[in-house]
Amino acid sequence: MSHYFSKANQAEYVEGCTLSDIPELVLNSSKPLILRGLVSAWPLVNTAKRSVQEAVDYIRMFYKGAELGAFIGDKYQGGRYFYNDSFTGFNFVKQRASLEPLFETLARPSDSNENRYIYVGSANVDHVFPGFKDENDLPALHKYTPLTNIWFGNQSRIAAHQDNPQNLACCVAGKRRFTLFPPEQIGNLYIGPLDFTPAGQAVSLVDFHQPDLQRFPKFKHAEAVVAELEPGDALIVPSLWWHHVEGLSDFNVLVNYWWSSSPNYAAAPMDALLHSLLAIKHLSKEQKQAWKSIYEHYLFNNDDSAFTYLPEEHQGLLTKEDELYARQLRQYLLNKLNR
Amino acid sequence: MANHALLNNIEHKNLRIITERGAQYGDNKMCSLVFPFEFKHVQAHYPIFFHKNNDSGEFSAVAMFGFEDKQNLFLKDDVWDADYIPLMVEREPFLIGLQETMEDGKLVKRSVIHIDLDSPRISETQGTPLFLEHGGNTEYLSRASAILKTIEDSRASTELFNQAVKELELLEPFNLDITLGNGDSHRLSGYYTINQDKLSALDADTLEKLSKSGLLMIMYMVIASQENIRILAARKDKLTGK
Repeated sequence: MSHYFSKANQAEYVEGCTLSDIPELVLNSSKPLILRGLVSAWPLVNTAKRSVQEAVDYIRMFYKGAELGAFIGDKYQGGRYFYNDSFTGFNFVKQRASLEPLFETLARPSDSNENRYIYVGSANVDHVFPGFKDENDLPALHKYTPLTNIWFGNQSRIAAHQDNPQNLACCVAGKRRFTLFPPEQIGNLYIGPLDFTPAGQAVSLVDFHQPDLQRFPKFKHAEAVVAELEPGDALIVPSLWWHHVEGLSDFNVLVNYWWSSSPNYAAAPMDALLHSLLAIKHLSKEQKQAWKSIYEHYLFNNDDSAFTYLPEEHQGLLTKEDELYARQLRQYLLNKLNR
Repeated sequence: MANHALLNNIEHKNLRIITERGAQYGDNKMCSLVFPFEFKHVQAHYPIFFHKNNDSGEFSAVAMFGFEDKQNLFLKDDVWDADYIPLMVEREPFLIGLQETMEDGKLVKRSVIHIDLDSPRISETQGTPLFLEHGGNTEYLSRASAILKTIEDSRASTELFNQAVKELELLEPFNLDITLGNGDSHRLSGYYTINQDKLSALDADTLEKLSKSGLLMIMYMVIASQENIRILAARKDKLTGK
């Protein structure tokens, strides 16, 4: 499928990473990096290599009954979880489910599962499978106290989207393909609405398997990086990189880690964009240009020394983390917004 | 069929709420659900009875405003003659709704504000607006939302109280004979109250536990509220000129 992209590169590999030691440079890489076999010693990876049934039995041991959010697609949907044809909703059904009926369908041979597609995305591992991490752990990430989620299903295609945190995605069962694009490729990907999304994040409207280049002409310029993962492989998905994710086998499981270096009191950057849409979007071209320099000056110049002429107690968030100032700002914005 | 909707500042941008009291706004109610955390205020005015849900077998507390359907003896025209009105009445026409969302990979239920669109309190021309000019929340709406949150947050303490009275078998059914406005005598039945003798007879350990958890005080407030039956009857007699 990589021939759809003029410049599809294979993601780079790094050697020598272990469960307890991954260099900082790798973890915080701003390019996708494959860590081959990083989690191949996990019991789940080993059981999954033997058979789907063993993997299912192994995971089931940790299940204590928490409800899961499942996406169910029919045979016409073909595992591509997306909007429906009329763009009034989605081509799959979201339902709450317990593990057993999902696993029962997934463990059946693919020719007998009535062509049902099942996808469970971003389920909190500690919540759904307490104790799983005791046996399938990644100590190299402990210092970040990451959010650890598990994703499973049969064949799936999740449209390209981006996430704010840095991401280490570990393929533990089945084969998975990530097709990644740097954040600045946004214009070539034809992103859907911000407030009407299949699973929370805005997604590329382009069907990567059969791109409609009449409707999405710039897509042919999109520069992709492709990462094909085998069970045990891990991939660094850098913060905000667009990623299209395919589960290729009859039974796929992925465990991922999300972490961020932002302080806890920080607001979500997407909320800042939405606020800017409310505040800046309607301005004249000249005014927008002016605000662009102002944003550049205060936010994007990455040069704290530009503000050292201010007395330190009045630098606020301009030069440093300042939790108290952040509180003040939050209250101010809450008041200003409520009108 | 109730017409409840998730409150939002687009569909409901022009809605106003009539906050006056009056039978035409549904205040002619005989009783209202009340919660143990508000018993202190409730018992200052109203008798607190318990009602048994026949399906679940669970008890819930109610404050009595009258002795027959649609009779609120505290209501005279647009005045509710008591300085505390139970929160389940104050919250009208809003309700707590639950919305399921995914947070940090967990399915969680978040409470959201629903509005009863059939409520006679709803208007587009009179009353207090819910939203500011550009869609922000008015102070009135923030207050309504705080009331709902108070009710929502009291779930655990209500549960604790209900469990205690159930385990200690403190509730007993009683009948109340009253003379109705038309002179007919009427027996109010199906309600329960706390048996004071049973409560007093509890062993010292149990009483200490109930006292330390604050439940004992709440139980005595239920008992104290029984005095309001007499006061309520006096209101009725005054109203009917007897």
